[in-house]
Amino acid sequence: MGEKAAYEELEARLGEAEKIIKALRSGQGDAIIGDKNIYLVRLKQMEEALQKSREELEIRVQERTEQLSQEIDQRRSLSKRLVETVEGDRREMAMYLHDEIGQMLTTLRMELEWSGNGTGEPNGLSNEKRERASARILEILNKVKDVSRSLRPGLLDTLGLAPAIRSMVEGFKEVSGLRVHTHCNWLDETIDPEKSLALYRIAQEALTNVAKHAEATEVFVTLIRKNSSFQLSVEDNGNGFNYDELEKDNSDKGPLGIRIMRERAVLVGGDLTVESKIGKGTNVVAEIPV
Amino acid sequence: MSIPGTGATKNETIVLQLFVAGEESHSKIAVNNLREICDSHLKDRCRIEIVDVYESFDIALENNIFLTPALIKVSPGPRITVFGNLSDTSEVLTALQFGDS
Repeated sequence: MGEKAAYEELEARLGEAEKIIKALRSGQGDAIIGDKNIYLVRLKQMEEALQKSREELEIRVQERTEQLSQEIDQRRSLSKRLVETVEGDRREMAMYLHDEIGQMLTTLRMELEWSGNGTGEPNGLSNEKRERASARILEILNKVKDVSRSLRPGLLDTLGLAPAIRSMVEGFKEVSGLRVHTHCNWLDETIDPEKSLALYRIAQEALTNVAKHAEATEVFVTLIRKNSSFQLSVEDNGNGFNYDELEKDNSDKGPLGIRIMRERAVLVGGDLTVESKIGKGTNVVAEIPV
Repeated sequence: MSIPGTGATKNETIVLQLFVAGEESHSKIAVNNLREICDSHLKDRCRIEIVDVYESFDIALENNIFLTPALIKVSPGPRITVFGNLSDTSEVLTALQFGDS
């Protein structure tokens, strides 16, 4: 092929290539013929399909979010009702123990003591036995009072959170043998009773956990009034444990006691964090807005 | 419209090959446009052959067709290719060298 012919052929091919590009640019091409395949030109349709599926996805995400939000609300309200039921039951039990059983035991003890006062009733019990029985009843009475108090802290209603917690801590010290220090930087402020009870129960649960699991020797219970919140912290010098903070966001994970404490805090608008490292003790902190 | 200066006599048949891709939209439009152009401007002189690249892939390759729709004027010469859906009639006629010179 001569040079001129070769040049003309090249020009012809370039001309054709230009036409193809022009047709593609003006959006008039259907399909590109490859060596072995046919490729459909679908840009506009693909864009539209993509846009449509994006819109559908957004709608579905929104619906799902609303659904989840509703589920969370439902669970929260169920939680709240459960807590109210439990507290109600405890109140009733506390009252029953104190009023009925406590009363019966006191009466029994009094009758036992009078029977030794020479009022005329022979009953065959020696003084020693009578005294022992009386002491035994006193023991039982005190235990009943303890249980009643732990079920329903009367001090909470009458004197407030700090005194109630100090009283609880005294009882805890006796039973556990641990050294417990309390510190509170407010005394007289009245707190909403629901929040007060929540903090009391969290402190109670946290101390129970220390006694059961921590193998600690010292515990610090701190109540701090901050600018716009109350903070309760229960810190021990025990074993600590591997608590991954990330797990707290997943409501199905984490030890049950911690989940319950957190739920109590959340129900009154607050939150609970747990810091713990193996060998470095544990610190449970509840923060509740004023 | 007359057919001046094409090298074709009045009775010479004009052979056109239209390469399409099945039922794709531009291909269908091209088919309709071509029929109309032939009916309106090239009365009775047109022989249209529609080649579906899905069915006759090798013919498309032989003819070096890279894009559909593609219209080839087979005869009378020279061989000319037009790409696109043939919506602009005067442009098509000019490209095929059927326009007023």
